[in-house]
This record gives sequence, structure tokens and C-alpha cells, in this order.
Amino acid sequence: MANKQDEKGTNNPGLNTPLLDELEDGPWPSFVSDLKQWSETKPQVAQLLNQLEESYENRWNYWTGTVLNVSGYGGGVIARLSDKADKYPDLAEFHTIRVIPPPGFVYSTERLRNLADICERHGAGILQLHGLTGDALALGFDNESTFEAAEELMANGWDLGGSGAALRSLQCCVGQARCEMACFDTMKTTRGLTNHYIDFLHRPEFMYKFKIKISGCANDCANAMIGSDMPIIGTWRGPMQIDQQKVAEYIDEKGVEHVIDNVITRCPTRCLSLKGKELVVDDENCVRCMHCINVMHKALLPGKDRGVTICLGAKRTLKIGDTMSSVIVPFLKLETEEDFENLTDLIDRVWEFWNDNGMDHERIGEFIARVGLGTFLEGCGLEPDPRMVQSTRTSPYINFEELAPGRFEGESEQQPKVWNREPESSEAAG
Amino acid sequence: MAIEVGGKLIEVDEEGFLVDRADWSEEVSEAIANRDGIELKDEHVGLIDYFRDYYEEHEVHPTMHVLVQRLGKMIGDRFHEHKQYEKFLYMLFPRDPVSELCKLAGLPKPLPSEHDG
Repeated sequence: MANKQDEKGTNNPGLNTPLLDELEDGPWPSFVSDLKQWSETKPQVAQLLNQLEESYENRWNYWTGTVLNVSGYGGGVIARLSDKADKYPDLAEFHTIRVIPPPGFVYSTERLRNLADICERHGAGILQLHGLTGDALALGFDNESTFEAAEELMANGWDLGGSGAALRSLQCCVGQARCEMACFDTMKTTRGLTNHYIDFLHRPEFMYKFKIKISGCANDCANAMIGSDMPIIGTWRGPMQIDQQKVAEYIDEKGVEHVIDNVITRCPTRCLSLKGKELVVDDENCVRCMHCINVMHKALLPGKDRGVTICLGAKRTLKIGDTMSSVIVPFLKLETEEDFENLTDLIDRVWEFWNDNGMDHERIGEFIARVGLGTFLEGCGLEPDPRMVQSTRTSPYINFEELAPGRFEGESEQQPKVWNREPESSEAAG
Repeated sequence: MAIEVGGKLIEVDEEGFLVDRADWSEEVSEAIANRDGIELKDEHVGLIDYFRDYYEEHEVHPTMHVLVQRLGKMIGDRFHEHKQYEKFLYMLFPRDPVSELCKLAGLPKPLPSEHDG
């Protein structure tokens, strides 16, 4: 690292970035090094670094949002103006274009070069591919070049979208293509939903953004549970697949102690036990957390009857604090066209109710917190279920008569009132 | 900046929004549409009237959300069908229908949304 220390700040005489230089330390790749190198070709990149340095120094953001729309599109461009335009003239307009990634997130080198060439020709030539937003971001366009770049991108078969109060570009894990744990075809679902809801990506009209992320199993490689309004997570029904011979081989190799310490005792619901060299699973209590399967991946596999769990409501702090998603549909098969229609039908119903009744700038998690899950389920035409829990494995949103503790004779009814599943009796009661 | 309507100069800002809302008339709206290269037809005029009525009642311009929610319901019952109405709006006004309609209806310029990012 000593060599790098000497080179600091010498790459470009116009650069004065002592705080940013700190980010070049360490064995990791650094965006500062990359941008410094790039600033020799593009003058606005040097100004960008200098402005960022100033931001670091004064702890202030110098970007102002504005509106810029490509013809026929409501989203796809994130328009930014610099407050320091007199000092950094090239940053006066510094817009970002969001490009919808190809299905499967796999590029041929030719396509990637094509994308890079267009962005370099018209803008600052900085790309961010597949961050948490799921789409490809191209930075550094002014008003005119935004339109030129958008035209050229579209002529070359790229599409814009996924900004504003719209459905954002979908994000998924690698799925069945490259992972044996995936319980459903995440990439097919992503592509299907993107095509089905392409209008929602192009033209924003919601109360606020809506994100769908798709993970093949509870390992959640796409960060869906914390990072999206509607995570779709792979799961299974019934027992998991166990190859007892491989279990015995694993125990022989690692020893019983290792298995007890790392598999049996780490099961969150204590549903695993060892009988000699045989693994016994209490399937009723298994919550499909994937831990044992991850550790003993040769011996264990997810069960055969696979589908998805659909959750709702994760978001960062806005009106209420950070939330994680909670279950809205415990199990849904997702294999045939009909299953897919069920999914889009559910999404339509959820959107419709949220859109009709939500307030401005209200994410769906906040909306559910405001109106209550019972009202929300009624509005969307969904059945309440004890698996809809407020926080992990503790209190359900809705109390059920048949699950409530028994009462002595003459004891008053439980308050708040518990939900009764028979529609006739609830009508009679209320 | 100013545009000339029937021999009278009407003051507008650099994007074409009226400086004084009282200046609005159908001729003015036509002149602004000409300036932006839009040919006003019945659908356009109907929407402009809707914007003016809505503003008078609510003192705020309708958002895309309101348009799709209220007017889109006439097309079909399904949520997906409402979206077709938005497509239609973008056909009439390819660049930012809400902002363009505010301009043509002589309403204040919509604030930039904080929705993106």
C-alpha cells in the first residue's frame, strides 16, 4: 500500500481531495482511484470529485432535484442540478439515467460495450450496475444529452424506467439457474413481472415508490426482506429432503460434536434432533430458515412441494421507523401460467387498495400500520392467517378464537375482541 | 419573456408558465400549446377544463395519481386497465402531462417531486 500512498493526489493537478484520498487506503477497490483515473479523460469527473470533497468537508449535499422527462416516459431520469454550478460549471446539470437491465442480469460483452459507449459519448461515462436499485445507472448527462442518450439507448434496444413514484426495477437472486437451493424460478418471475408491469416502470402514478424483490429461498440473497415493499421468497411445504446416508458421512467426517454445535442447537425452533447417526426433523415446527440446509448442503435439501411466501412492508425510516416485511400470503405455488396470474392478480388487488386509500408519500408498510392489517386484508380480499405476525414468532396481528387461551365459565369475553373465522358468527356479532 | 395573443402581450416565465394567472383565456392556452408544439383537440381542452375546475375547488393541481384514479375508472374495473388511461395521457402530452396541463391551464408550475432517488 506504500506505493499508493505516494501517488495520492498527484494524478490530476486540478484535484484537491484529501478526505476522499482516505478512501483509497486498504486492499479494496476504490471508486476514488477509478474516478481519478477517469478524470483525465472527462473534465467533469474532476469537478465531481472536488464537489464531493467539499460535501465531505462541510457535511452538506450540494445537489438539488428537478424534473426532466424523456418523451413518453414519466420515469427513467433522475434530474439533478448542482448548487455549486458557478464553481463547477460542468456539474450545472448532472442527470442520471436508469436503464432496465436485461432479463437474467447477464450481458454479452458486446451489449455491455454498447451501453458503455453510449454513456461515454453523451455523459460522464460513469456506470453503476446492479446496486440495491436493481437497474443500471448511467451518470452525468445534461438536459440536451439526456434526450440524445435516451434516443440512442432506445434505438439500441435498451429501455429506461424505474424512478419516481413508480414500480422500481425488479431485483432477484441468481435462482435456479445457478443455485440448488432456489425453490422457484426467480429469474423467470422477474422477467414475467417486468414485462407484465412495464407500464408501471415507465410512468409513475403511485403514492410513493413500490419495490418488488425476489429471492429463491430464505437465505434471501436479494435482500428482499429488508429492502423491498413486496418480497417474494421461495419456500416449501411438507418435510425437507434428507439423505440419511450423507448425514452419516457428514457426522463421520466432522464428528458428532460439530454437528450438535453447528446444526442441532442452532435451529431457531429446536426442531432437529439426532438419533444415532440419523437426523430427525419435527416438520411441524420447522420454519424453513435454511440454516441446517446451508451447513449440511449435501445431505439436506428443501422439500419437493415448493412455492413462494409473499410478504409486504419493508422500508427505511420515513413516517414510521425502519420496518421489515411481514407475511401476507404464507404459501403460493408459482410454476404454471395460472399460478403467475394468481400472483399478478394479488399484486393488482394490493396496489388498488393502497392506491385508492394511501396518502401522499406513504409506503405500503406505513399504510398497513395506519389502517391496520385487518382492514387491509378486507380491502384486498385476503383471508387472515395466524402466520401473519407482527414480529418474528411472537404476536400475530390478529387473535383467533380457536387459538386463544380457554376461558372459565362466566369469564367475560377477551378484549380486544378476537377474530372469529366463521363469517356467519362474525356477522351476527357485529 | 412574453407571448403575443390577439395583439396583447402576456408575460410568461422561461418555460411558458403564466406569471399572472388572471391572464388566462382559451386563446392564451392555445398560444402556449403552439409554443410547445401541441395541437389542441377536444380531449386536450376537456382536460384543461378539468384542471382549472379541480384547482378552483382544491387549490392544488391534480396529480397523475388523481387522474388515473378518478378518470381511469371510466375505462374499466380492473386496476391494470386504469393504467391504460395514463398511457393515453402520455399520448396527448408526451412530456410530463401534469406539468404541461398546469401550464396550459394557467396554473402554477408543479413543484419537483421528491419521489425519485
